[in-house]
Amino acid sequence: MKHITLIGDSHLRALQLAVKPFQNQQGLVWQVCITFDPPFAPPFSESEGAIRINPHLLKEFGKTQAIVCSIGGNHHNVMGLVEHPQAFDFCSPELPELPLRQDRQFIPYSLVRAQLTFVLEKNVFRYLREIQNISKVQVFYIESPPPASSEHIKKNAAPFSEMLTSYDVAPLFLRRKLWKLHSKLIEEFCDENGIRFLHCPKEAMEADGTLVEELANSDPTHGNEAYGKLQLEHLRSALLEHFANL
Amino acid sequence: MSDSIFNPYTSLPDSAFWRKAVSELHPDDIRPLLSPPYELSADTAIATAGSCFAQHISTRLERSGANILRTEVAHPLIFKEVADDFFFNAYSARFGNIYTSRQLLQLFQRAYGILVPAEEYWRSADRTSFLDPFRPTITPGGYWSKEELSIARKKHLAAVRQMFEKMDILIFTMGLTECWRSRIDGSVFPVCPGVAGGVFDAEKYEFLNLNVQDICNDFSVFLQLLASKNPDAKIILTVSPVNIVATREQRHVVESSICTKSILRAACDQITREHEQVSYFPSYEMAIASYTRGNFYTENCRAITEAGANFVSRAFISHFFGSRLDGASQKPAAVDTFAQQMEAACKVLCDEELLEKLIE
Repeated sequence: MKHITLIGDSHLRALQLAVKPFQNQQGLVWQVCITFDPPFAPPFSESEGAIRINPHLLKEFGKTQAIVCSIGGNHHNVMGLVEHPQAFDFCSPELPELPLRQDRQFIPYSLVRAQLTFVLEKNVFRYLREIQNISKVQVFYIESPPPASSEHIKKNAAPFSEMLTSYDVAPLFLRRKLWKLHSKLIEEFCDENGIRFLHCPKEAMEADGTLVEELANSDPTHGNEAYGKLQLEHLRSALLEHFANL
Repeated sequence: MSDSIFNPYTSLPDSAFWRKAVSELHPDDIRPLLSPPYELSADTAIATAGSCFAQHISTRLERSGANILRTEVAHPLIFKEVADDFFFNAYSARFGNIYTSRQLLQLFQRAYGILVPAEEYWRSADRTSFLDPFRPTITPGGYWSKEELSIARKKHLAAVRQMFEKMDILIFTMGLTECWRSRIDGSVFPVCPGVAGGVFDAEKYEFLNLNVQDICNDFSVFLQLLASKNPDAKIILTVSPVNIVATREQRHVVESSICTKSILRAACDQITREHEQVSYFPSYEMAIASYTRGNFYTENCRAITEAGANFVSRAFISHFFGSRLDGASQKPAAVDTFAQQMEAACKVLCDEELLEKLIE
């Protein structure tokens, strides 16, 4: 049996809910460490500028054959889930077919990229770097779910309900650009640091780029148990391929 | 007839005599200034532009409560640290450093479509992005397409027009005489092509070292153009005391640096004599005068220390504002309450208890 340790925040919840039928199947044992849960909270601490990993996590890492991370994953939503009163837009090399709306404040792509990188460095990259540094096994990172449809967000608005009484949901084209850029930045980081980035399953996405409604949790950004199941199937394939190639 | 012998110096103030104005004073007490040509208030809309030394004055003026005009600001979602890297808070608009009088003139001409340079873009050194040849260093990562660069330039030039039309005062710090220009249309660049993007080609670009007359001519044209858009605008000229980084002239860099500053200083003198809306502030003199004994220079003897920049800025504020700036009118740092709300909501969203509830 090979032990797989999954570590992450709220996006990992969907996988945790779906993991039971995957246990001990095809030679894999799964340990889900959600960073809110004791004894893994807080997952990281800082002392004299150095990051320390929670000893319970270190113990898990010590007996694992692969580490799968889903740390962070919502920073694009902070920038653009709800329409900012100063509506903005940017050119997206990742999605060049999407329009650039001239009636919105133009922000250069490199500036949006720099802003997201700044936030990711502070909240995600430095932790991933630390995990990669201490890890003796392959580290994976799973992409955040694609943006939900505007209708889904409006119907499942909490905790944005109050904001959405004053502001609208940001248009899908902008949310898709931000999600894609967020994913690209993490993927680039992963490539540079020897971490394998796993895209979300194609089946999870509608033709318009939104998360399939049946896979969306009853909140504006997360996947549900069915999404978790789909993710685990993809993850399992990637892991088995990885072990086969060792 | 009086016993004393009259000559043109007898009725002059102490400031006209080195012994009384310098030798007999402690260096810290020396202010090489007479009365200001006019007074500025906390409401005066001040635009700033120039070589890197201009940033020192601009930052300190704003910190003291002066009304620094900003016509090109970052979106509130962009953190200040990030915006600073993109030169948003250095000058009134995002034009980067303007080292020469020709650059200033051409900035105005480009903003109003009088000059449409043939040089539309440079490629970054790694050829992955496009750069604006007229501000190649202020967008880290450049632009990903020519179209994006073109949109950014249009927005930028609109902000520049707004600056020229809204400002009461422009503080312009001259830094260099040496520059590189296009052989096609004479457009000058802030840095030599090939240094921060683009490719140097001797058939396309040529070296230009402005002389006093060139600078005076540039300013005459600039002032005429400016008056057509903003007849009441005034200019305060300064010369950067920062020594030049390199020279393309066949002479030692020290000789070129002193020559550059001398030409700029002489041009300022002529411009202020010829144009009543232009005055001069001696920040250069305050930093380099012999009584400072080089104390305001950093270890490399090229740049100015924080203390030097503070000294000059305090003198500027005291000279033009008197006690009318006390920092009280300083604009509080913009806080994007929307971003704070979003951050809080996302945090709640990721909170385990709430998520648990949602799943249930």
